[in-house]
Amino acid sequence: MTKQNDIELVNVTKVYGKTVAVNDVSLAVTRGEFLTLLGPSGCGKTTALRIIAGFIQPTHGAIYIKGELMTDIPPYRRNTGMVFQNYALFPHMTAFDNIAFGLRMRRTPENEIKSRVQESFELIGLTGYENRYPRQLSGGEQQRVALARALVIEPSVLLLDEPLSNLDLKLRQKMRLEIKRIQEKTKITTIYVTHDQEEALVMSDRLALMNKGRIMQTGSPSDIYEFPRNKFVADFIGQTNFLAGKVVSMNESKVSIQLDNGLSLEASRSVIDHHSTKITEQLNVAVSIRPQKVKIVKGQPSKDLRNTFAGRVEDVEYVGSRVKYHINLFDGMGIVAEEVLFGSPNYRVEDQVFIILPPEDCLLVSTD
Amino acid sequence: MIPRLIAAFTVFLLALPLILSVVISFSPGQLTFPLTGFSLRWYEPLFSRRDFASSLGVSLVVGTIASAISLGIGIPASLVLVRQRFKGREVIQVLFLSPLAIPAVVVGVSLLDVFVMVGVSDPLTRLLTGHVIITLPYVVRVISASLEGFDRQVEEAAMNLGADEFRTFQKITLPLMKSAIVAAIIFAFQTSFNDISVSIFLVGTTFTTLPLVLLTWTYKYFDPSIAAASGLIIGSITILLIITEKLVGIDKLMGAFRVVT
Repeated sequence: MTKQNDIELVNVTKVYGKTVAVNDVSLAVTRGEFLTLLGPSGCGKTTALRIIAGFIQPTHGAIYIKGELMTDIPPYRRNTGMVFQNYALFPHMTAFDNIAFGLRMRRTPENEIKSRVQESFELIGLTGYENRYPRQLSGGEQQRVALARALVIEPSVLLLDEPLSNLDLKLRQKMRLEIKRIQEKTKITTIYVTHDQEEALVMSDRLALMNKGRIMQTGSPSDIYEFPRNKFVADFIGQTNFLAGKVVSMNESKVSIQLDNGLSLEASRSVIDHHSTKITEQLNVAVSIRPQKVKIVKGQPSKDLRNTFAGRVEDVEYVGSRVKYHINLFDGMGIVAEEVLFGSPNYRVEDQVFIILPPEDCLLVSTD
Repeated sequence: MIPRLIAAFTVFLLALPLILSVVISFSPGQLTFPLTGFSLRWYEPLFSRRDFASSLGVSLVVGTIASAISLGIGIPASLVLVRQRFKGREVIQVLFLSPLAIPAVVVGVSLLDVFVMVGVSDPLTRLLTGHVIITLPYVVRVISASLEGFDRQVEEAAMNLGADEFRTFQKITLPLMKSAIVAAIIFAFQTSFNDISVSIFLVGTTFTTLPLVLLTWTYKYFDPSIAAASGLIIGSITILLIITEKLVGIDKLMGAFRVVT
């Protein structure tokens, strides 16, 4: 099993005085996989990455790279390639010498260095820039040189620490596709750290969401987006509605919840079983439903539809391609519904509407 | 336009004493201004009075060796002081900088006391010790300042790419400290070469420094030969600056001074 995994963290913990930066984290990354550590600032994702790189020693736990125990090995013997947030290019060396550095440290013969570095420049699309110094390069160009520098040594794993945060939006969007393209071409195992969920969803094969030093959930981007397992994940990725309540009964096909404001709601049993943590009767839960799944209709919906409620539009957020309606249900609870727009919004403030929460789109997260 | 005029005028004011010295050194007679003629006669004593050459030699040798020793102590000391945390760190920092806070005369007298007590009478040893003490604070200050702003991620990048601590220091840290080291050398050498208040207590009867010799000339001779000595030194430094500009480019070295301010 370990042979398939290029990177393994086993019960890794890092404590600084009273703060636990990384709390009993175990993670395996398979060969060629693009895994992203995603989370808010201070969640421990960068600490975890630096532990893998060897700049930080864990307080407990072990790190394996390609099956070998690396916990006590210094960074210069781990054969990892790191791309730093501010690129960390050597300012006193040309782009060529920057990229050649790792190969020179490995005492690669100069003619081999020349051809491999030239290939790198082609890979990142910067042929002709070999003799430029970092200060003569734009942010995006520096980023690409930093990437090439880490890749040319053919490391066991590529580590990227929020490499795109210093770039403007358009450049970020362009660069993340570039990085993904290069990663797919070289098939290199990659661990990517970011706080930007869009970046994470676009680029990753798998995501690990972290909060306060722990991994909250791992899964593919669609897994995590469609089926968040707890409140933190549901809240962090995309937007969601949370309706607090309690499980009153369960049978083979449905789960009945009574919301705190008295309304009754039904969720699909199979969906709950499949994707939520264990749900039992009397459990305090939050019903989580994405705004895009909330349906709005003008007229009274048919009687055989479940989870229909009356409400009033309080606010309309026009976002260009989409519109968000903030609706107040008559029994006090608020809900956000989102629709794709093909023109102007269908509803206005003060409109009386009905909303439908399809049972199969209702997820439950335990709040106990 | 106006700022440029002000800048030019300021430079002129600052250079005025130097310019005047050089002008007076070509005076045919005594110390008069404006010049009554042009003569090189006052450059002759620089060769005939033996104390000039020997003291110039002493100043150059002591300056070079003291600067080298200060660098050898100051660079490692700065690295430790800036990058490590340990008990008593601030105390040691202050200790290194303390000679700056003590009047130079006091430093000189105290050192003389110690040398007499310990039984060290050799003027070279005395001078070197005194000059290392007064130049070390400048080295530590300049190098520490540059290390404070040092982006350690480039060192991490080097280690990540396979360079151990020694090779990282050799290939990354040291080259990036270059301009600070140049600044430190200039400060140290300049402080040592210029020094009077400490050196006056530590020199021997024949083993003495150039500034002290020139000081004696002012009451022994009081003639333009002193201006000639200044002219020689100013001229030499000017030639050095021109060579440096041609070889390296002073703008590169000027980066060093941004570190200090």
